[in-house]
Amino acid sequence: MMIFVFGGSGSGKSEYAEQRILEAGEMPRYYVATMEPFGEEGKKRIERHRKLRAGKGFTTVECAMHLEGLLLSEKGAVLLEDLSNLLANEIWSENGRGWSQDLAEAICRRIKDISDEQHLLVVVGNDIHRDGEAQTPEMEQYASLLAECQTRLVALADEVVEVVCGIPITLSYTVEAN
Amino acid sequence: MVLVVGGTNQGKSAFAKSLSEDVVKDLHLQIRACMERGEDSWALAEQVQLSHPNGVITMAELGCGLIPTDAFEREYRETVGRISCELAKKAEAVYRVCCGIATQIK
Repeated sequence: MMIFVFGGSGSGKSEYAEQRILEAGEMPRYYVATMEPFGEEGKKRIERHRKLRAGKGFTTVECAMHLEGLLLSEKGAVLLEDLSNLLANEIWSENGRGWSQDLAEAICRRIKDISDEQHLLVVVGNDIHRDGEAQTPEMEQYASLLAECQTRLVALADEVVEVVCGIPITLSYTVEAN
Repeated sequence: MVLVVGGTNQGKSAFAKSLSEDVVKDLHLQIRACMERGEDSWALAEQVQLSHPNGVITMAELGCGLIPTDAFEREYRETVGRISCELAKKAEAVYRVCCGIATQIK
């Protein structure tokens, strides 16, 4: 089962995503961290997320890129946070895939595999497309690739939830057949 | 207290005025000014709530674009986002206005 959660920066999407993992009940909980700690601000953001997760029983697995190498020892509930970091790392990090043509497809295929292997996968996405044009062609290309990833994931997800000032708004869900 | 959020120029104020005469307009701009003065924007938000317990607060929904290159701008949109989460928790009702259409989300 896959839940796609997205929202703007500071919208409360992480907290909501964590809550969905907790609601899945007692099982191994994994937090797949995609953010590389660049600078003071990056470290502060990571620290904030750590505090938010503290005491909730998550095992943190660092995976800044190459999701295909992600190994989770048991079947459980997985929180993947977030897509914008993962994509940026794949594009711009030294060891990333770079601007390969099938980047969005490859990322989404692996995400789908993880969701099939696990009881629950919650993927956190980012609403970055509603505040005007990108400043450079490179950023435009990035925004477009992120949009492609998210559109693909929405098609694969069982539930899509937008978070607005901490309030979840369900955009779509699949009714399970009996 | 009622919270009205939404993008800029979407009709938040007009909708807020239809709900109440006591409208605190564009709290995000007060937060920006407060941060520029180097003061505590959370204290400001608290004070606004206390002085308008039955009022309507409008606030822009920021954070839905690419990450700003300027550090202050990043902190500003983050702060506005977090404060709006907090106000939404305390509000009796929350509306989101888009193209003049208000949707009650709480």
